[in-house]
Amino acid sequence: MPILVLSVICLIMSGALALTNHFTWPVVEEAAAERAEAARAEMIPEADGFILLETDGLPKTVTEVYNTANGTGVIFMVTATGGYGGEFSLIIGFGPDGTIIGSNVLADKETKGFGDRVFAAVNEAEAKGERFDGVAGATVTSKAYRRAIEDALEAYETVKGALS
Amino acid sequence: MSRLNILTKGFIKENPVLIFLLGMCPALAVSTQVSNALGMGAATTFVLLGSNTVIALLRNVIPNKVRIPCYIVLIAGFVTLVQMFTEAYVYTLYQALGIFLPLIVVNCIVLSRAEIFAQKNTVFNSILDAISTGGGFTIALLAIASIREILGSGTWFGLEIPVLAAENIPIFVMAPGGFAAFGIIVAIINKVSKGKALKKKEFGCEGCPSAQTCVKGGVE
Repeated sequence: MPILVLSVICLIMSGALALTNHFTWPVVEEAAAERAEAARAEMIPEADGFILLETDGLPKTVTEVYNTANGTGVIFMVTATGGYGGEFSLIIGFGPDGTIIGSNVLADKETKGFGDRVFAAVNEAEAKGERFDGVAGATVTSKAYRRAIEDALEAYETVKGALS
Repeated sequence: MSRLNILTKGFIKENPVLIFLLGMCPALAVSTQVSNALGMGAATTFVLLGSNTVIALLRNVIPNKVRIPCYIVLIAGFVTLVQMFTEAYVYTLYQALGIFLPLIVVNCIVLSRAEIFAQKNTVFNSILDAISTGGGFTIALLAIASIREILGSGTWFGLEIPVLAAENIPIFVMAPGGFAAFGIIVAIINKVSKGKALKKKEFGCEGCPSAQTCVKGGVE
């Protein structure tokens, strides 16, 4: 009898959560898309519009490639895998000469105050133009970040020819 | 206990944070800014309302043996609901609360109200109790956050305070400042009430909900 009551409560609660998720998820997705658009505009402010490129043979982690209409750079949306909290999504910008302008995190599940120190450290190194190896105590996140950057570099080599 | 008494006792007289000293983890962690404190207070109050109502409704259905797992499932469910709603509609708050939003599940205030009050009182009284406890939690958070934000950042609710903004004391925004602000408020309450606030009989072994099964509580 106790097992039955507990199971029923669990079932009802999961049902209620599934129902709520059904209604809130589209809102969350839409807001995330808006933030991504704003992040692209922030990455390359000179761009006058972003065109989604359809390219085959990219690394699996590179989800979207955006070319700029006026040729001021390319933007890669990358899902970094193997972080401490699973996946996190990055935006990585390339200048017209093929150098990385910068990278930013859009959404992450890394441990607050530990793994997410990597993101601030990367931004700081980018701003100063310094070399960045990783953050002690956040090795897993650092490595996941580096793999994402490597994937973006590989993707850039693939799409380079298609850019006008 | 009259209904008015149930509704108001949690605000000051039996404040969950300042008198019972429960839920200190979120109280210290999220009280760096008044706006975050208000958001955390609102989220916890909502969870309390939900869990108290449902647990009071089901108080004759839930078997005693599995009551704690049942409460935890219900509380975790309501917390996840709050999390989904804040992520969808109040994203800035969702980011500011971070890990402390899902951690409301293990907030001892919520479980203690289920165990002490909701499981043996009517639905209406449990709702009053939830408002009272949630309100008290919010009041305590606002009090701590006001001290920390005014002294630490020189702002209140994001508004700059003329002199203090230039001469702020950053340690108040950090963890030690949280303990200091919390300690100062508890000390003031003790001084004003001449130590009575923390030494009531019902907070001793006799008033404990587990007194009947506990060896120390004594069921001779």
